[in-house]
Amino acid sequence: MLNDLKFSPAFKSFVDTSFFHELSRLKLEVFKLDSAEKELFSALDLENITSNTVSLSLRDDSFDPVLNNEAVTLKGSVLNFNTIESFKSCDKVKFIKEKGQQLLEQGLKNGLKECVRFYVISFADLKKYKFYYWVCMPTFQSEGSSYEIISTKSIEDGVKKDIWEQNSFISCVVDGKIQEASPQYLKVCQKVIFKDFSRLKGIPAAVTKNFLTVWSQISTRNTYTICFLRDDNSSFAAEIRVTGSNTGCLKVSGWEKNGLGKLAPKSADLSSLMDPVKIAEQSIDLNLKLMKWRIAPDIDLERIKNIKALILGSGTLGCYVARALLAWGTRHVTFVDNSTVSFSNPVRQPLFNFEDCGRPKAEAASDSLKKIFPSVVSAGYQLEIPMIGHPVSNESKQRKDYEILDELIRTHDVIFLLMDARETRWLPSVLGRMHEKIVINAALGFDSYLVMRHGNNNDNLGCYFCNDIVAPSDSLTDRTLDQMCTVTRPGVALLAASQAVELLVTYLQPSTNVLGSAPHQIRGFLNEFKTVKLETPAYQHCCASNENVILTLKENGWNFVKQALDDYKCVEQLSGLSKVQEEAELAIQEDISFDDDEELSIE
Amino acid sequence: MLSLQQYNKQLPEIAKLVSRWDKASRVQLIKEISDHILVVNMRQKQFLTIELQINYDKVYQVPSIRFRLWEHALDDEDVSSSKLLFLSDVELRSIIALNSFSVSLSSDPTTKEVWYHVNNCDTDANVGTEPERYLLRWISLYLQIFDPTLNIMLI
Repeated sequence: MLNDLKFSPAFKSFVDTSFFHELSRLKLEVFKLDSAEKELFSALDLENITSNTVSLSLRDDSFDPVLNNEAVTLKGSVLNFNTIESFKSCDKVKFIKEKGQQLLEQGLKNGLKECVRFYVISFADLKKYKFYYWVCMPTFQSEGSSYEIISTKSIEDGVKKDIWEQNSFISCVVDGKIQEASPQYLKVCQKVIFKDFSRLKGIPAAVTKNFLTVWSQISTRNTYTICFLRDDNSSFAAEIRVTGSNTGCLKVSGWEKNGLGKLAPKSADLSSLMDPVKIAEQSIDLNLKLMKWRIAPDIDLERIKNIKALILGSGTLGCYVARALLAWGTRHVTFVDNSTVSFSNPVRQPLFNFEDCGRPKAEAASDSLKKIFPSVVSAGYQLEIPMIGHPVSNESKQRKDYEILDELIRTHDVIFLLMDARETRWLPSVLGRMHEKIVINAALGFDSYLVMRHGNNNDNLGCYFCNDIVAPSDSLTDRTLDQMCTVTRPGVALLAASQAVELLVTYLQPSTNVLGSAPHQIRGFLNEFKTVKLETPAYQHCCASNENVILTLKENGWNFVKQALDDYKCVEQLSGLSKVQEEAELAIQEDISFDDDEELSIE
Repeated sequence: MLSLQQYNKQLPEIAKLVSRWDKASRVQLIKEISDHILVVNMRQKQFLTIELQINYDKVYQVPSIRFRLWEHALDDEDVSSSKLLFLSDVELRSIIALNSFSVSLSSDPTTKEVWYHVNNCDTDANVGTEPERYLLRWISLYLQIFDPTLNIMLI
């Protein structure tokens, strides 16, 4: 009496966490909204089969076509849906039926190796780090057909060793020679050799149905012989008869059952898998990378991320600028300030709390930033930026402060000038120009603000001091408290800080098509809720960007700074401002005439 | 100590042995460029599986084992969900037979994934230094953490 051929489950899937990490990365950076199928590859370990069925392992390298050359590789694909709803509503019966039909056609066209394939449907919830997936390996046969075993016999070791080393899991024997199981050879071969995915005694893996369906459509014969090779002592050859119609409608199955034997998807919650710091890093990147999906595909996030920002002044502006940089993904922020956190600061300056009062501001701001995002590279320097027009009082300290400032500016890419006093901005402006750095300046009035980027050697745009015809000098001595402190409407600093960072980010982009063009200056007026864009040219006699000033600083370093601190007039002399002032005086004198009644009139 | 060359040579045989382990639901030998890794998934309880990896510790030059626990559940829509489980030392000892072994949580320097690592400082003292059948001696001792009856399989 003949027995129907029975089959074991085709596979058992194991999806490593590395696969989900790679899927997340590809989804964010490469696939984006593209939900077309992507190729996968799985290296089958046919020598270490457990539970009688081959393990279909998916890892990060499963996306790589040059997977381990030594392994038997099975091709597959992943269809990653954009929404959980589309994942759930996917018609799984229709899906596998279509795949079965495609595999049959591929098998008929290209041979038995192409009629076995696995498919993964998935949805990656990148915010929650939860992945839904379901794996199938379609197995098919024509409706109404059946497979009867005519005979079986065990295979001697010698036969299987000849081909066990080969990479392919399927081949055929033509006149004693092992050949690829292509349509051409399948017509004439004596038998097919399959490195079986099953270890159940006398029961081959379910994909055998695919081989028999394809083979019987390519070559009509009374019986079909398949050798099922295994690495243990259970290899066998079976002579099989295909009965019934082999060209009827296809019966396709192959969705994997879950742990409880139900036909349903699986999910992996990886939220607790990684170090929370790493998760924070990826989550920040996630929010930013979503910009590239639809809104700004060409945005250069890496440039923003890798830039080293130096924040001079760790007050309200400094704190908000740092937070906005962090939100843009910038990983390297250094603070400089000379004072300590006062009791009035925490309510306006978002990096400080009540407990920080009394601590050096730069250090407290840096610590706070690291608390918000532990992966940020941040440091705080408590130093006094030497101010033009403020005579040297402690040379060794001031010289050291100058040297640290010079080194900080040299080693950063962008310098934010966010200090209170105007004269504090002079030296960093000159150093920024000397070291060819991006300099972003923000200054506050009571209900107005200025945000600008300093010009450079290429754009002929001005710096903060280019509109002045006098060099800055001591503006703090003999001033009342309200004149020395930044008295401003609280919202002005937020506006200015965010505009300063957005100006930088826009400026960093490779073209104006990405985020628009970066203006030179933005002036905001809160009393009218108005913003104006301005552009002013570089001034050849500017006290900060004049060539002589920069050259002198380059050549004389501290000695020149000391001179400028002691007497700001020397800078006016050097830049040519003195001459301009003299000429202006002369011009005024020439234009002033006195009438007969000695009344002053200006023409 | 066991040389990397010896480790790579002995591991395939160990993989074959482990694939006979009735608790193992998957055994995969991954041949990386330098050292090989053996990945084993094993059933521990009805809704608990253990994923363990045997790899080579280049600093101590001994085999090393790390593992993590996966808790499985079925949601309202019959989706089988898996989630990592991190337990206190006491709870962990109720699931696996740590005995005198010490285990600590640490993150992988490359992937930042968190694993339980079995301390391997005393490996040579525990299994001897003779290279021949080193890995066999090693798994017969260290895999008992996960299955105290494992030695029967190795006979």
